[in-house]
Amino acid sequence: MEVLNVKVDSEVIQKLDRLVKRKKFKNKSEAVRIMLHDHLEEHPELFGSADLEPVLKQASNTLSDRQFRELAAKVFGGKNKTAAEMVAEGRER
Amino acid sequence: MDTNVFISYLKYDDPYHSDAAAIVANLAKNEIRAETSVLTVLEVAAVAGRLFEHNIGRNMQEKKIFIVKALQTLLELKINFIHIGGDTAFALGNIHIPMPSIFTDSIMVCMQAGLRTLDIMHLTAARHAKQMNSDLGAFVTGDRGIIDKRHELSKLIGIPLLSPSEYVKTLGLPRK
Repeated sequence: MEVLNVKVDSEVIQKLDRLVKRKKFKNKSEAVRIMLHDHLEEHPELFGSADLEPVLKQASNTLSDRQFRELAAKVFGGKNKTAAEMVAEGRER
Repeated sequence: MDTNVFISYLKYDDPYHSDAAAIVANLAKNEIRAETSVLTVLEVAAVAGRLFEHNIGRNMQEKKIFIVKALQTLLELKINFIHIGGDTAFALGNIHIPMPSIFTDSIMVCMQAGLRTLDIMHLTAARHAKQMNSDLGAFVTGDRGIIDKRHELSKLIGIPLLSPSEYVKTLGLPRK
């Protein structure tokens, strides 16, 4: 982990202290770390498709084309629905 | 080409898998050309993510990798992605609402075809593509609901609507 120095309002510090006191987090550092992590996870749109570059790299390293085809067979497989029905499901709501 | 043709290509037990695989193989060899709406990119991500969660699990990183790999497979096909760019005002009387042109065009298509919103947008993209490229031969979809309305819809978009099997058969492509 790396250190990030951030200036925040004293009101924010007080709120973080309250959360630590209530045992929601071990300390303020953990609170900020988790909040930042969750926010970034919940808002991938902040990065646009540039955020997918590391995923693409990881995909190339961990999922070969053959493994992808095998996984796709499990994800999309099953006789109960056709591909057209799977796509149509997403168009119905 | 509708989104479901690409999903048929990835779904080995799909009734249209062999036809979709034949289409993809012929695209790779430049024997045929295909166009699809940019909506297909979104739909592939949505279907892949939804079914990954349903059939494999909720591991976020593994799901992301699967979606990205599915998108990469789609984007590497030699397909032209139809994007009706810019905004147009949708006007009724004195009220003008600026909106993406694909919406304005799709609203007009709604006047003639009773389909789901995204079906309409795909057909609008196909109609636009046909106007831009008169070589376009057919709209290919495995969706029964669309195929059943092919007579009225083909008039609307200006090209025949075919199932993947009909398309492969019409062109005499070797099935995979």
